Amino acid sequence: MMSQFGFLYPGALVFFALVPLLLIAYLVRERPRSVIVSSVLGYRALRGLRAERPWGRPRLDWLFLIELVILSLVVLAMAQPYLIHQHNPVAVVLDNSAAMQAGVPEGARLDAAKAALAGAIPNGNDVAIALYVTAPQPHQIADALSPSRARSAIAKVRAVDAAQSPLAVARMLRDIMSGHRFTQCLFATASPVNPPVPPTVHVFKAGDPIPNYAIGSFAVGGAQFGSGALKAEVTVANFSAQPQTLEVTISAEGKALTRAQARLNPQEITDIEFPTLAPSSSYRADLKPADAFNLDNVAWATPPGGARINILFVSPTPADAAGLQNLPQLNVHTISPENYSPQTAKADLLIFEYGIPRELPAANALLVMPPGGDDVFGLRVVPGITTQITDWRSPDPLTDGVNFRLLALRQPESFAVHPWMQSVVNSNLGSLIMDGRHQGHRYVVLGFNPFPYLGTRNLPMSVLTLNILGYLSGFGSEDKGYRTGEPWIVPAGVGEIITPSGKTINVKPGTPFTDDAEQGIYQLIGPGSQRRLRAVNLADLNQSNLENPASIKLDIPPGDGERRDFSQRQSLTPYLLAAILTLAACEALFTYRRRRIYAQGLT
Amino acid sequence: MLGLPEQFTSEFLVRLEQLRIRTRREYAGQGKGSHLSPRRGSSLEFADYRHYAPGDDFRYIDWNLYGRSDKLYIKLFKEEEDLLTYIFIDASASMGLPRTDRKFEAAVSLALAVAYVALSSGDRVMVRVLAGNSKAAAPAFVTGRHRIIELARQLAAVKPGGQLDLAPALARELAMLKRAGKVFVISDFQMMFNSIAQGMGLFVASNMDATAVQILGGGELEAQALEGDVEVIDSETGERLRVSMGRRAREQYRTTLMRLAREIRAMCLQRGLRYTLYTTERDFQEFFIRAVTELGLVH
Repeated sequence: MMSQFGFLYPGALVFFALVPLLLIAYLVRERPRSVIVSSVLGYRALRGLRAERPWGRPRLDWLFLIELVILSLVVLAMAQPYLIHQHNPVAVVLDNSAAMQAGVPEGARLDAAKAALAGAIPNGNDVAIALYVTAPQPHQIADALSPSRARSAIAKVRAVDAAQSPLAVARMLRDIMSGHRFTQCLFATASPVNPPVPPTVHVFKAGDPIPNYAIGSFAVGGAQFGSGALKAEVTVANFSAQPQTLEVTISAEGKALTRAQARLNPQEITDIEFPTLAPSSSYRADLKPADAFNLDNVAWATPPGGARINILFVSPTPADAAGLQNLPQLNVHTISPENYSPQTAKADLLIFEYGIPRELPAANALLVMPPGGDDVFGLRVVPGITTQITDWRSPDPLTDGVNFRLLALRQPESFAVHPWMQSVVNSNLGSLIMDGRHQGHRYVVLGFNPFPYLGTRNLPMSVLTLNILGYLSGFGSEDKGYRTGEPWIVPAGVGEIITPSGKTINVKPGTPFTDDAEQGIYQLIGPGSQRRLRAVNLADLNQSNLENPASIKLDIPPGDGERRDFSQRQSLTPYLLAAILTLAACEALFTYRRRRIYAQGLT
Repeated sequence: MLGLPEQFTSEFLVRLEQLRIRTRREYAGQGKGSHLSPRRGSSLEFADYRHYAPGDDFRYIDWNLYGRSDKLYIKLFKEEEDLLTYIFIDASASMGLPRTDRKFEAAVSLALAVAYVALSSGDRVMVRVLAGNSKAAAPAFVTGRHRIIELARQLAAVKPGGQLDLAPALARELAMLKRAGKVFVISDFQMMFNSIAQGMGLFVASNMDATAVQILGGGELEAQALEGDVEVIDSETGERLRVSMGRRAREQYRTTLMRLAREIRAMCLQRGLRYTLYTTERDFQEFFIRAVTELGLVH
C-alpha cells in the first residue's frame, strides 16, 4: 500500500518559525551564574519559586526539549497533516468448473486460465487481490493477497467435477463490481462472455471449442412400475460437427454387464435404454470413443432403494382402489373427497376420481374423469357418445407398451385444448389423456376410468395404468440422480459420508450436504455401519457442450463498471493531539514527582 | 604558635588544661588515668564486697562488717584509667565551602581543642579524618599534651574534598576500633538526614558516648553571595539546581538549614548523644568555653 503525505493547511507551518525563535530567545538570554555551594539541600525548597514551574522559563534540559516538541506538534496539528493511501484492490475470478478439466493434456484449459491470470495480475505494493472461483458455487476463497501470494493461490486452484451456473457467475461478477470495491476484475473462463463488457472487467478466454461426446444422465430403475426387474437409461450427446456412433458400456463391480450403441448426428442428444440389468449395488457407464473431456465419459448410478410409494386415493367409490393394493411397493390410502385437505394430504402421488381439488395439489396428481369447468385446472369437457381413439404420442412413457386397439374404454369423455397441458392420447372429440407440468409437479388427466385395477384380466388398461403411475411416481422422468455441486439433505440416520476419493465427512441428518463436488459413488454410513450408496454425476450437457458452451451475460450497471479513484485520505491530527496531551501529562507528572522527591529529601 | 591555630593562645591553652572530658558512663582504658573504669582496682571509689579468700590483703577486710556479721568480707574499689577519645573530622568538599567561612579550619581548631583537653588529662586521643585528600592512616592513639603539635601538623595538611556518606564511613571506622570511649564527630552535616541518623546511631549501638558538633559558615547560613537567578552546584554530588535568590528566598533557605540543624539536635538528644552548633562568625574561644557542657567537658 503506497502512501503520500500532505497538509490540509500548509500555511500554518509558518508558525514553525516560533520554534527557532524560542530557542534563540533561550540561548541569548542571560544565563544564570553557576555557584558551587557546600550543599544544595537548603536550596531544594526554593526550586518552585520561578524557574522550575511547568511552562515557566524554558530550560535547555529535556523538559525544555519536550516543550519544544510539544510546540512543534501543535504547529503540525494546525497544518492538519494527512496521509493518502493508494489502494489498488483487484478481483480475480477463475473458472474452475468441470469444463475446465477439458483439453489435451487434461486440464490444459485450467492451466491456460491460470497462466493468463498470473500474467495479468498487476504488481505493486498497493495491489490487494481477492480471489474468487465459480464452481461448485461462485464464492471467494482468499482476500487481500499480495500479487505473489495471489499467483501462488491461483496455482493451487483445482477444477471441480461440478458445473457452473452462468447466471450465478454473472450475479457474482455484478456483486464484485458493485460498491466500487475493486479497481478492476480479471476473469478467466472457457465460457463466452456476451458484450458489452465494462472497461473494468477483463475477460481472458481459456481454451478453444472442442468436440465432445458426453453422457448426460445415467439412471437405473425398475423395468416397469410394480416389477422388481431393473433397467437403465443413459442419455448421450454428440457435441461435434460430425455424425458419430457412441457406445455405452454398463459395468458393475468391474465386470461389463451390457453394451449398446447409438449413432448420433451433430449436436444430437438421445437416450439409450438397457432393458434388463443384473442386480448390483452400483453401476458404471463408460462412453466411447474417448475425447478431450474425460469426466463426462463416465457416469455412475445406483438402483432404486426399494422405498414404497404412498398413494392417496380420493374417491367417492373407495372400492375402485382395491386392485392397487396388490401391487408391490405401493401403499394406498383411500379417503372420500369431503375428507381431503391439501394441508393434511401427505403422499407421493394423489389420485382424484370423479373430482378435482380446490387448489393445485403440491404433489404429482392423477385426475380421473374430472368434472369440467373448474377454476384450478380450467378443464373443458367435450361430451360425446361415440368416442374413438384416433392417435397417441409415441414414444412416450405413458403410451409405452399399450395396445390401444385392444383398449376398451367405458363411457369416455374428451377434453378441449388446454393452455398448459398436452394431449397424449387423442380421440375424435378431443384429448382422452393429457399430461402437463405446473409449479414443479406432474399432472395427468384421464377422460376415462382405469380403476379398479384388474391386472392381467385387462392387460392393455393395466399396462396403461402402470405407465401412468410410474410416470407420476418419478420413473422415466428427467430427474436422473444427484448432480455434482448441488447440495442435498443428509438422510435420516446417516452419521458420516465417504466421498468417492475416500474422504470421510461427519454429517448431521437433515442438514445440507455440500461437499459433493466430486463425481462418483458416495457412501452414506448409517447406524450399525449400515451403508447406502448414492451416485453423483456431472449430468450437465450444457457443461459438456464444449463446442457451444453456455455464455455468460454480464449485468453490471454502467456506474459500477467505471474506473474510480481508490485513494483514501487519513488525517493525522488526532494522533498529534494525543501525542501533545501525552507529552504534557508526562511533563506535569515528572515535575510533580521531582518536587515531591526534593521535599522528601529535606527530612 | 608552635603550628597551632591562631586561636590557641597561651591563655586559651591554660583554660583548656582546666577542663576534662566527662562521659555518661564508665569506659575501660588502656592505662592508669583519672577516669573511673568498670574494672576493679585501687581507687578510693568503693565498688563492691566479696567473701574473703585466703591470700587476700588483710588491709581490705571490712572489720565493721565482720563485727556485725561475724564473716570476713573484702572491700572492692574501682580502677581509675585513662579515657579513649575518638575525634572524627568531616573533611569532605562541603567543609571547604564557602571558602570565606573557613569551616574546615574551624573544625580542625575544635578537634585540636578537644584533643588538648584530653591529652592534658592524660587520656588517649585518636583523630580520624573522614573523606578529604589525605590517605587514611592506621588508627593509633596519641598520649601526652606535647603530641598536640603533631596532631596540628597532620590536620593542617588535610584539604577538604570528595564526597562523604556519613553512615558507611563511620561504620568502616568503627569496625577498626577495639574499645569503646568518648567520640566527637565534627561536621557541617550537609547531607541527607537519614545518613546522619544512621551514622550517629552506630555510636549508640557501639555503646559509645558521642558528641555531634555541627559547623556552619556564617556566610553559608545567609547565602550572601547569591542574588538573582543562580545555578547552584552541590560540591559533593554535583547536583545542579536553578534558583532565584532574593530576600524571601534567602530567608527560606536559612529557615531550611536551621530546621535541619534542629532535627539533628533532636535526633541526638533523643538517643542520649550530645549536640552543639558552631557558626564560624562566632568567636572560637568564647564559643568553646561557653559550650563546655554541650561538648561533654567539665571544669
